[in-house]
Amino acid sequence: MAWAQERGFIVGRVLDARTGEPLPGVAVTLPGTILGTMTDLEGRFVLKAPPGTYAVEALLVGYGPARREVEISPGDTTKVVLELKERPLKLPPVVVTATKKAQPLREVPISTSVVGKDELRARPAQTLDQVLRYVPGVELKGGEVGIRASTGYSQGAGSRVLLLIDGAPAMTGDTGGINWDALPAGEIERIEVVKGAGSALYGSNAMAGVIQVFTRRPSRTPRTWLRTAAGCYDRPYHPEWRWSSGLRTFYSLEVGHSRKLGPFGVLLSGSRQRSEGYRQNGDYIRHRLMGKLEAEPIPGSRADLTLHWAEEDRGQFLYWKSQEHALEVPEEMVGDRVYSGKFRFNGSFRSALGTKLAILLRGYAYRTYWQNFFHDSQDRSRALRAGCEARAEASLGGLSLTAGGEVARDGVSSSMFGDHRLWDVAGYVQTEWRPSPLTTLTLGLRYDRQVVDGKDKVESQLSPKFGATFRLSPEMVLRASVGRGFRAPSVAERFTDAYIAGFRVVPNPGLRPERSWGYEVGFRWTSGNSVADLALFQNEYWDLIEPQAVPGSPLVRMANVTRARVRGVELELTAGLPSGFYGSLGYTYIVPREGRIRPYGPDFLQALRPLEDSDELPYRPRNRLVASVRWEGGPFSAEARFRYASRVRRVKMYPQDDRVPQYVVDVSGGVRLRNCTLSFRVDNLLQYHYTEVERNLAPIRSFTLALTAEL
Amino acid sequence: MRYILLLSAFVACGKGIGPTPRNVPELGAIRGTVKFLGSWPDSTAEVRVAVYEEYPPENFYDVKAFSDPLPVGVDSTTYKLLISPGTYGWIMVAWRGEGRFWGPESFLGMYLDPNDPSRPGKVTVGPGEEVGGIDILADFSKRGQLPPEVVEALEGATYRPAPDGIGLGPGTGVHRR
Repeated sequence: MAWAQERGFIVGRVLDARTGEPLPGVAVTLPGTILGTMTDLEGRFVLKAPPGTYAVEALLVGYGPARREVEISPGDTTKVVLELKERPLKLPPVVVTATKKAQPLREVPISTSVVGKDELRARPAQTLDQVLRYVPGVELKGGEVGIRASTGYSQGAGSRVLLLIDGAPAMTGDTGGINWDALPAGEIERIEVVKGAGSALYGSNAMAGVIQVFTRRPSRTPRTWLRTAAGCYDRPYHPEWRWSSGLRTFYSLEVGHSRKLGPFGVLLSGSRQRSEGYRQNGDYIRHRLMGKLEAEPIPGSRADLTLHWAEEDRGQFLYWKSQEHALEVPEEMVGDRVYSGKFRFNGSFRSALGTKLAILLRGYAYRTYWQNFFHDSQDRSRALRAGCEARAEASLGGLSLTAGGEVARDGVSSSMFGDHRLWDVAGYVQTEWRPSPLTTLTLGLRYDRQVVDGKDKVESQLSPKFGATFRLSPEMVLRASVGRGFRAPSVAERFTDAYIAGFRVVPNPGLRPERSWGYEVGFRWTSGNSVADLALFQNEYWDLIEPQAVPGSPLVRMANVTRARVRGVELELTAGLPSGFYGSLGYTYIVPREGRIRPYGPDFLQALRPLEDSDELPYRPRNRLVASVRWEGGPFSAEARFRYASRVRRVKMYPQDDRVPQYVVDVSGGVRLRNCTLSFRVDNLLQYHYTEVERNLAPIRSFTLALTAEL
Repeated sequence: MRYILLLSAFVACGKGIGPTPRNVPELGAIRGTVKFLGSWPDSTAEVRVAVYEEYPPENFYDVKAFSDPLPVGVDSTTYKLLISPGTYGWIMVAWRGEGRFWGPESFLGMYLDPNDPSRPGKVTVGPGEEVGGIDILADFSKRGQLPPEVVEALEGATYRPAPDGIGLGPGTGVHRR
């Protein structure tokens, strides 16, 4: 109580220096302390601090930083207004995913990409995966996401990339995968992608990286919005592929409202999407509801609660009838459907206890349900993953410390996987030390323990990491990192028991976690309106899981099989150009190999050993390039995007099928009229035909007209 | 950037994968008649012709080609099987029951050497060549009775996943690489 009585308040507002408009979502911090907050939709913020003189710093994507010195007296309120000047280059200066705390991007020791709200606004997408396709180093194959060739091809059997929504894991409890359709694409504020093993902070699944989605915060003044989009797929380029007499259409409608309600900020939104699909069995209907509640129970603290429900009824396109009929399914599969429902809860409370200590408490639950209505099976599964996390952040001079613990439970009931219960318990600690103003060192360690079905199976993992950044000059930063990753097998991988194409897939409860070590050195150069980032990386993988015949029997089960090594280089360039143009380019070159290495000491030393009897890892293109040019002039905007992936050298299932590189161009444009924005988009402008998943033709050209109105 | 877009427009428009496969090697074919003896089990799921390179095979699942399912319940049927050029040492008919998997007990009969009916027949197929007369007697009463050489070769053998067409397919929910 004495502490509270001695404190003073800083009440402030952050404005656009040019227009005078309030700026929401601005990170406001007192450098040298752990105190910080974000502005609300009216640009307001409140901080509580002990008496003294402080610098108040405001940082926002697309603006230069602003800093003001303030003096705080006991019990007094100090008012401050910060004005941010827009910078032509849209750069995100602060990220939180790499180290679980707000940190300037240049001080992050591992490759991190950010998709800011400008990019999200310029590329209105139905689902999040459409946005991620243009992040350098990120690969999407159907619904599977990989980072820097971590994943070849898997179908509902776990993900080597962890997805977080507002800090909480969003992986399904049964298959360990990601339901992209369940994410509120229209309510996303920012996306951060950390590339490299991240299990030292996040545990399982963060084997190749972490993707974190930040949803919008509620507004304090009433605000209502409506977004609607409609469009159609073009006819297939090849007449032989025309399987439907008319154009295939789609539409979506989303409405939302946000306001202050008593002490709470409230955001409600709902949407409906319907598509006939560009191919047989490609149709879907989706509904989604989201509610978010936010409050500041005491100054310097924040509590929020998010509820999210989604359902999808869609056709199932497993593989094409034949290349001559690439948009049709085999006759027996016509009418195969999948129904799925998802419900997610995420609540957190964060509070500063003085200037040197902050705590965070979080609880989450993710319930999923799906049922197949296939011609030959009616499998279904119900899963609930629930967990909680407690974390403390402390700042002690040049040393900062983050420590926390997590507990999570999976419950699965499925006709395909059986009934199972898993418990995950973890503790982690991370310390950041600045031995000099130019150098930052990071050390982290996490212990994970998983118990499967009582005490039938217990797995423990110890995941360390080390990172360093060194500022060569105000423009140039060198970084290096080493970290361990792992992925615990999903319930689906451990316990699938089914007949598939005449073979019996049997459970393998003895599956071990997949493991990885990631090594990276990088260089970041910032000058005026341009940024260049270069990374050299090597990722080592052990015990990758894939199907294998059971020796001496005609049974198939999932097994730890592959030892792999992925080496590569990644270049990311961003530049603000004259006359309202912005350009970006990302290029990734990898050498993905599998083979064997004679055991030699601990895992992390094996990176130095040669890979013997090696072969190309299947389903990995060696070259990927993404590029975009955006123009903004007054109320008008336009963007062209291009992505390229080279032909994969090796596949496993259908090696005689045609394989081609990917060349995809998407264009969009829009005009803002008062409170409305009218935009159009053409995806796959060149009507280029390729497959990401074998015998699945990627979407053909489509046209979309969209209207966004703020009421 | 402008050049990248122009280049992509040049190389990409309407291209990529087309309806006609480009990578298909010039295949050969074998064809013949399968005559069924005995009564068809009620639990029959499917019957196919399977082609192996070696006789006896070291791996029962190392099938080089697998025919489409043959008609069920008939006395005899003709078949034609596209196959890569090469020499094949064992051509057999395999049966699978509902809810059961392919295995050694699937064996129903095999193509025999016309000059020595006690031995399996060997067939050589050239590019674009269609080899006929590969007739097989499939006897349900002898289901699973593999030739002794095959039994001996398979003893202690390690089974590997089946090749294209009979193994795990896309979308099965359990395939990973």
